[in-house]
Amino acid sequence: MNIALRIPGSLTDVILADLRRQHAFAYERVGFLLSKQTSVPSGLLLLGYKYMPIRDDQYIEDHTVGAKFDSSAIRDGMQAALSEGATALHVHLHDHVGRPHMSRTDIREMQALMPCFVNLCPERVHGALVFSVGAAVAKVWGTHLPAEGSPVSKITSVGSSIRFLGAA
Amino acid sequence: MVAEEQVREFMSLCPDAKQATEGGIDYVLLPLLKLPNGCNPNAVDCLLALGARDGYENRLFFAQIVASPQARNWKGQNIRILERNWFAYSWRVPNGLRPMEILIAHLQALR
Amino acid sequence: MNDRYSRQTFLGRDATQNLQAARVAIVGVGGGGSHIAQQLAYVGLGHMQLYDSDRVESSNLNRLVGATIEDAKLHELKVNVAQRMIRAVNPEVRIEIFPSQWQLAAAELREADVIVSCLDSYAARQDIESAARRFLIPVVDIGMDVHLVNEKPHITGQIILSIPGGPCMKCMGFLNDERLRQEAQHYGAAGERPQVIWSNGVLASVAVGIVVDVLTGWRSVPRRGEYLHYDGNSHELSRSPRLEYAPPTCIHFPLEEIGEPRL
Repeated sequence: MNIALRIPGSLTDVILADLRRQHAFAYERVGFLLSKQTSVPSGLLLLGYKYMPIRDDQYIEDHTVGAKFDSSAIRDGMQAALSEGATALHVHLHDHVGRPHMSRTDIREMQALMPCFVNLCPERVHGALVFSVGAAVAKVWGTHLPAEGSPVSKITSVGSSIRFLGAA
Repeated sequence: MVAEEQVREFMSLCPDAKQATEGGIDYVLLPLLKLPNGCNPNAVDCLLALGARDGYENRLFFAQIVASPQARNWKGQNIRILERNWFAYSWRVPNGLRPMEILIAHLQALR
Repeated sequence: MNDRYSRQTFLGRDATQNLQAARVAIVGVGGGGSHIAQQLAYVGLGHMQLYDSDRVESSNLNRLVGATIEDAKLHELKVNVAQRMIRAVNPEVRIEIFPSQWQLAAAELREADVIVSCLDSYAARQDIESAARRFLIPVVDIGMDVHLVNEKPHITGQIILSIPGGPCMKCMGFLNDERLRQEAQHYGAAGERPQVIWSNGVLASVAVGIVVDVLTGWRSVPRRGEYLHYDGNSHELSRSPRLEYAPPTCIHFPLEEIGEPRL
């Protein structure tokens, strides 16, 4: 199954601007990208439409990780996914040039978190999206997908030009 | 947006009536709307456009072409709205009527 | 070493890769669309979806790129003609043909990165743009017509780029109630939709330039869309002032109204 993600260019800019903001103690910022899931002949197409940054007060100070957030942040993401009929993608930034890779911590955290989203909204996939400078990588979890998650094969940001962030 | 009370009025005719907007035009979806006597099929999903499109002030779309006592020119075929394909005959109803009156005026064309 | 694209490296380091990864749907492979299909094959586009239910007639042979006398005799499908032509230019292009109205293969259209609309009615343009906006797909639209002005034929045309979030064809004033009303009442221009190859060629070539820019970003010029007028008598292309007066973001297709409608 092919899974593709399209994000409006203006929204990509908003997300990256937010992820680059300094936090008082967290090394990284995170948020949730809400997307509409639609079926296409080759698999699934996710259409990003709203970004929910994690609020400053929802971060937990923990210098062993880039960012840690409390349960209210997870609840907000889950609530939005449920009430808006959306796919939730946890988003953060690896601020380097070149294709990003999900770290072992990223994958471990998402394998723990995403089943909660899938259990709540089993008819849709949910996952994680990592940006770098000019590229991105994403993985999703879903009811009929492998437990280790499925890669998103194509990520594009659609503005006055199309930025191919994650190659097909 | 179609006013709540107008949607409720449609629901008295079609319990699953729902409103939607696309391209700045308001629509009312009327699932399995019962059509005038003599129509085949006698009930079909319909979509009422309550704004100008395709050169009409308002327009009634059907999920399929319907045979009716009064034959109509089904000029509009496979018109894509709200991710479905619709069919429509050529029939003009002026604006200024209540949405329910617009619907009834369109259905009159099939009698 | 394959130096096929060595003359277009100015498009950027990733341009060839992006073009090869991209999927473009050409809706209508008649006079305009056939040019576009040919040119996109030359620039190295990786994947094309071709939509057209029509068959070749002898009256198409003044302009249908790739069509032969034999195609007209056989009433060959236009999508087959286009596919044959693309394969001759670039056999690596992945081609999907849909010998039908696009509405009957709409699910596949969702997967396109760009839609090129070469349709011959305002109503049809309205619908395809509406569908494209739902799935965050830019549309490049072209069209030409011949009108009588003081009883003399005047060739005009347009090339429009409609970007999700940016002004749509209604915002730009290209699609409006008056035009749709006249079309519904069959008010026509001079003759039986006159079409000539050189005007189609101008419009198609500019459209391809826009498609390549959308897919590669080589010009690095941000824009909200594009609306170009073509005057086929004076051979001039000019930017329509309507784009300048269009709202900064689309008032007809808010970004929240994307994906399949929740009904």
